Amino acid sequence: MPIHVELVTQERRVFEEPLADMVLVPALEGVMGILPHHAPVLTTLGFGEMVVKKGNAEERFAIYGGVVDVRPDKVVVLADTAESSFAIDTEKAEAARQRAGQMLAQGVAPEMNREAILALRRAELQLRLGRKMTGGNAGKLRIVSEDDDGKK
Amino acid sequence: MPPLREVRNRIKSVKNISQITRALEAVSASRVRRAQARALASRAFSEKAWEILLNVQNASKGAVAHPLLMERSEVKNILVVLITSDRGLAGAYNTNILRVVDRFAERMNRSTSFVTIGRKGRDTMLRGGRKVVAEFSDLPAEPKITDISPIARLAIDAFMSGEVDEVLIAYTDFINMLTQRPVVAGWLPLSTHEEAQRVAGDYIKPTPHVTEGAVNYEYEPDATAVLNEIVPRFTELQLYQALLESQASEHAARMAAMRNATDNATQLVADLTLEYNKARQAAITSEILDIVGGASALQASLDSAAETLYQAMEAKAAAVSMPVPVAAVAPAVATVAVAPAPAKPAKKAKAAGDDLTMIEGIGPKMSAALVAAGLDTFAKVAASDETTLRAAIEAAGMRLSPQLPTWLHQAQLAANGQWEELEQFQDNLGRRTSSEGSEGDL
Repeated sequence: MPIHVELVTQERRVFEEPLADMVLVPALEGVMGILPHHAPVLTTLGFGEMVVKKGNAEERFAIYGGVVDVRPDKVVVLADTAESSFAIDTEKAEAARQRAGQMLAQGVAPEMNREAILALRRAELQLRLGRKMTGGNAGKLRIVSEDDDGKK
Repeated sequence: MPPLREVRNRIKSVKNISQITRALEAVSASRVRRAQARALASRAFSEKAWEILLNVQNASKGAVAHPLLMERSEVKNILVVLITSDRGLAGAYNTNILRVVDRFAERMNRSTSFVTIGRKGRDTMLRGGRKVVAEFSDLPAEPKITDISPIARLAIDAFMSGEVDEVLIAYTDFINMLTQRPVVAGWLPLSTHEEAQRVAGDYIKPTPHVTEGAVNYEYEPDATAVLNEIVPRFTELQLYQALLESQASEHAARMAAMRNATDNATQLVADLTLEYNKARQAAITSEILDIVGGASALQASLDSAAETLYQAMEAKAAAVSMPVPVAAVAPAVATVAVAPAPAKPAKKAKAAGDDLTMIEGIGPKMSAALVAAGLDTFAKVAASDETTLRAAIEAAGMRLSPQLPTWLHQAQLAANGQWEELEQFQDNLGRRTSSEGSEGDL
C-alpha cells in the first residue's frame, strides 16, 4: 500500500505525491522513517531534510521546522518553510551563512540575535544539503520533472 | 451651445481618463486572479492545521490547552485588526468595511482599540478619533507570511498579556468577482466552538467545519509541544488569509469600479461627440446664414439702385418719346395739339394733323404732298420755309401754287387759331391775286 504524502507551508502546497513508498522526516528527536501502516503520530519537526521515495526516484526538501501528521496511509507535513533541495543555491547559502555569522560575532539586540541564529542554522542546512546534491545524490531520479521545479 | 473648442478639449480629456481606467481595470483583473490563487494555495495548511487542532482538543478532552485557545470569562477590551487598502479608486471597498466596523464597534459597546493594515483604514480611524494602537501600511502587493508576522506578533502579545480579551479581524471576504462581503471575524482566542462567534452579531463569518473524525494520535514529544508548534502558525495564517481575501476583494472591487468608469467615460465621449457635432453643424449653419444674409442685403441694395436707375431712365424715355406717339398713333394727342382752338377746327380736323386745305392755295392733293413730307400741322408748316415747301411739292410732282409764299403766314395764323385774321387775309389775297398777283405783296 502506498502512502499519500503532502508537504504544505502556510503560503502554498509545495509537494503532493499520492503513491510514495517511504518518507523520511526530520523529527526533533531524529530522522523518522515512515512506511505504510504507520501508527498515527503527531510530532514536531526540526531543521533537516525530508525525503520522499517512490521506486527508484526520490524527492528531497529542506524543512525548517513544523509538524507532521502521520496516519497509516497518509503523511502530511506542515512546514514553516520548505524548499526543494534541488533548488538550493550553495553560493547564496554560503553568503547568507557568512552574513549571519558576522551578525552573531558583532553581537546584536536579543530579538535580532534569535533571528540571526535561525538564519545561520538555515544557511548551514542549505549548505549541507546543497553539497549533498552536488556530491552523492547527484544524478538521482526525481519524482517531479525538472521543469516543475522553477514554478511555485 | 458651448464653444466647439471647449467640447473638443473635454472629449480629449475624457478619452484620456478612460484609457487610464481601462489600464487600471486590466491590472486589477490580473491581480485579483493571483490573489485568489494565493488565498487558495494557503488554504491547504489552514485546513490541515485546523484538523490537527480539533484532534488535539478532542484527544485531550480539554485538559491540554494552549493559551491562545483559552476564552476569557469576561471580555472587557477588544482589539480589531482592520484590513483596508492603501490606495483608493476601488469603488465602495473601503467604505463598506469601515461602515461595518463602525457599526460593530457601536454594537459591542466595549473599549475597542484598532490595529490598522492599509492607509485608508488608518486615516479614517484617526479622523474618527478611534484608538489606533498600531498601523501597518505599504505591505507588498504579494505579501509573504513573514510580512504579516509582526502584526500577528503584536496581536498575540496584546492578547497573552491580558491587555485585550478578544481580537477580531475586520476584512472583506472575497465571494466572487462581483460580490465581496465585509466581515468582522473572531480571531483570538482561537475557537473550536461556534457559539463564541456569535458575540459579534451579524457580521461574523462562520468558522469552517472539519468533518473528519478524530484519530487517536501518539504525540511526540507530547501534545503541548505539538500545539505550541501549530497554534502560532495557525494564528498567523488566519490573519494572512484574511489579508489575501481582502486583497482579492480590493482588486475585484477596483476592477468593477474601473469598468464602470470606463463605461461611463465611453458614454460621455459619445454624448460629447454628439454635442460637438451639433455645435459644429450650428456653426456651419450660422456661417451660411451670414453669407446668405450678406448676399441678400447686397442684392437688395443692388435692386433698389437698379430700380431708381430704371425709373430715371423711364422718365427720361417718356420725356423723349412723347411727340412721336402723338403724331403717329394717338388721335387723343392730336386733339391735345389742337386744344388751343377746340371749337372750330374740331369739325374740320381729320384723323391726323390739321386740315391744311384751310390754307388758301393748298388743295387736297397739295395737302397730301405736304403730309407726306412730314408737314402735317399748321405749326409745322409755319415753322418751315418756302424752300422746304417747294421741295415737298416738287417731290410730289406737282406744280407750284402762286400762293405758296403766303402759306407760311396763313399757317402761322391757323396755328395761332387766328381764324378771323386768316379769313380776312385770304379775302385780301383773293382780291389781290385776282388783280395784281401775289409777289408784290410778299
